[in-house]
Amino acid sequence: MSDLDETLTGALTRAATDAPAAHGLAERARSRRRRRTRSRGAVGVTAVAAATVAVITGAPLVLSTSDDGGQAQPAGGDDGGWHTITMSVEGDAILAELPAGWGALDTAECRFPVTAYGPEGTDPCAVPQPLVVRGSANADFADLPGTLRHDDEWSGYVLTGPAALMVSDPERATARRILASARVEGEDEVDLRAWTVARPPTKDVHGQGDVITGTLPTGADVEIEVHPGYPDCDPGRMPATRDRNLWTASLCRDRAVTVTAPTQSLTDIVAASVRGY
Amino acid sequence: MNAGASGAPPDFDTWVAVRGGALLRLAYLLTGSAADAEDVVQDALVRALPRWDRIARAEDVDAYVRRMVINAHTSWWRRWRRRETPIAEFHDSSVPPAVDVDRDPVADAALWQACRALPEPQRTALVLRYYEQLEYREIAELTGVREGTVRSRVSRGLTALRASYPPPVVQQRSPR
Repeated sequence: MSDLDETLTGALTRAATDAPAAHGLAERARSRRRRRTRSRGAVGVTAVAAATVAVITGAPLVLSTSDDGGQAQPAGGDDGGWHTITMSVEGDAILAELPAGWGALDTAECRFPVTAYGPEGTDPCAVPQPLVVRGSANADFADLPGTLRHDDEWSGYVLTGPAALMVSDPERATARRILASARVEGEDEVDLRAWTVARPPTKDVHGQGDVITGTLPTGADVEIEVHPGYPDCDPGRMPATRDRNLWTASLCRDRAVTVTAPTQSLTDIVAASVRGY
Repeated sequence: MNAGASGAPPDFDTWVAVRGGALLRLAYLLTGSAADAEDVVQDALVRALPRWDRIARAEDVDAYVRRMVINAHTSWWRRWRRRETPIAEFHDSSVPPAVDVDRDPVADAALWQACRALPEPQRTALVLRYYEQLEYREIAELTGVREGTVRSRVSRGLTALRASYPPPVVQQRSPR
């Protein structure tokens, strides 16, 4: 061993003493596993509960984009350079809208070569790239699809066909639009230029007066239905599933909420925006 | 730590209590961050937990879980998703490896900082080589690259450290 070899071993050994404590580590791992299990398993129970309630009530309140309480953003004719790209994922053509100046990133020389897109000048090897498209079969996500989280940036993912699209962007609206636009070739294009916060009329469900809101595009055929709750409903959200030509996602707590939209990604994005249910 | 004296495989909690500290120290050196180290180790343990009965019967449980920690560290998915579990600052109260008291803590800190600044593949190779004391062949198996690549990473890492980390100045006694 050279002097540097021995010095390095000693320096690393000393540095390692700053590692986190192992006390309670097994319980912390169990706790994380319970959270993951709950977020994946509970949604199945929620789905049953929501479906049951829908049959019982039969007269849900429908929130629509015409709701006066919405905060519509202007939808000018100029789309600001947004354009649609087509990607091939496991043999399927996947489409998505990108902002002006965004294009494919060459990640061939990166440690993790992936299909990625971003603004011109983006470091193609810096993870996370602004948009990454991968097959979803081996995906390992902690959150449900459609959830947008803010850390340093707004990040989230959606599923469509065999693909998972993952976005990280400083602007929430940009991340939301890219994700909501993902669709399999053959599905109808949705106008995502303007979004509104829709909320229910003053009449509530079974005396539960809390306002329920959802954020949805004004130019799309999206519905949010509110039903009376189901006593044993396990709180949670069920990701979108196909229902004939539409997609439906369900949420449940003291009330059940269903979101119906033309594409899987848009359904999950809108469902994740529902508050107050 | 593998099968106990009774021949029974170690249960999850017992194994983690004994080996968790070493995993966290390795993860800390790999990631350079206490929070990331906790995240990486928890990620590996979450995956190990439902399969523990099978893992505990492995010939070398320590090596198996260590590989899971390294895989978790290099996982693309972990890099993409945000950390799940912000934790309070814990510091290891268990018995750490002995540190030579005659060593210069300032020089050690400088070398550690230089090591943290290395490209991640080089730092991983150096940590596995000089902290875990693994053979090049073992590092190649753990990181999924050829042995020659490991040797190259170690060599380039050491070269970079030599360039950025000056050796301690030998105090010359002036003649009286």
